[in-house]
Amino acid sequence: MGQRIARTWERFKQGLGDGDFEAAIEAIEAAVMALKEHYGSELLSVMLFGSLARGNKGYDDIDLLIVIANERGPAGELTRNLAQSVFGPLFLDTGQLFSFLLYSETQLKALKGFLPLFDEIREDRIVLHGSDPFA
Amino acid sequence: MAQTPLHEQQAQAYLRLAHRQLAMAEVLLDHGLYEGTMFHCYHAFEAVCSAAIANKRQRIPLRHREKFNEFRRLYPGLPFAQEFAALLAELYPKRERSLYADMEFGQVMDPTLAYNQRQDAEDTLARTQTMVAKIEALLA
Repeated sequence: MGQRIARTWERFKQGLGDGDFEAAIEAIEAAVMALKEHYGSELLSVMLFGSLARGNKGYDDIDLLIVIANERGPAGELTRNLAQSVFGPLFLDTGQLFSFLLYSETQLKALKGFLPLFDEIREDRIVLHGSDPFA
Repeated sequence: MAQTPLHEQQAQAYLRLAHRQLAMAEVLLDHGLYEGTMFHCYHAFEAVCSAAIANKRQRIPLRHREKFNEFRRLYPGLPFAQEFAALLAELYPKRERSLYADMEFGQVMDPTLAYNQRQDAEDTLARTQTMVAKIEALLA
C-alpha cells in the first residue's frame, strides 16, 4: 500500500472553505495548545484523523492521536488525567467532544502495522503538532 | 384521570434507564467484567442527561455532541460543571474502547485486558453514580 503524505493543518483549514467547521477548528487549536502546556517537551506529535479529517460536516466528535516521549503510568490513570486537565475543560469552553488515543513513541513504533485503526489514521492524518510518526 | 405529559414520561423512562445501566455496571463489576462496567457507566451518564433534557420539555438530540451541549444549554451555571465535563471526556472514549479489540497503550486493547483493574472500574462507577445522583436532583 502506498504511503500517503500527511496533510498540514494550515492547508487543511484552507481547504475547508466555509464556516461550518469554525467551532471545530477553534477547539482543535485550543486542544493542541492545552496539550503542549500539559506535556511540555514530552509532546512529540498530535494528529487529527477520522470523520472531521475527511471534511465530514456531520462529524460527532474530534479524533486525535497523541504521541508522547515516555510512558507515564497506567492507561486508566492517563485517560482520567487528560480528561480532567485538557478535554473536560475544552468541552466546557468549546462544546466539542474529543475521542483521543495516547501512545508513547516506543508504543507507537511497536504497534505500527498491527492496528487496523492505524490504516485509517495513515490515510486521513493531518499533523497538528510535531513530527509525523507515519512518514 | 389526567395523563402524565409525554415529556415527563420520557424523563422518567430515561431516569429508569440510567439506573438500570448503573445496576448493570455494578453486576458486571461484581463478576470481574470491568470493560462492561465502563460501557454501562457511559450509558448511565448519557441516559440521565437525556432525562434532564426531556424534563425541560425539549427534544433529545440524536447526536452525542448535540445532546450534551443541549444539556449544558438547559442547565447553565451548574456548580458541578467541571466534574461533569471531565467525566464526559473520560467516559466518551471508553465507550467505544470497551467494545473493540484495538491496540492502544502498547498492548492489544482486548477490552477484557485493558480494563482489568478492579480499582479503576470501581472508581469510575462511583464517580458515575455520584454524577447521576447530582443530575437527577435537577429534575426534582
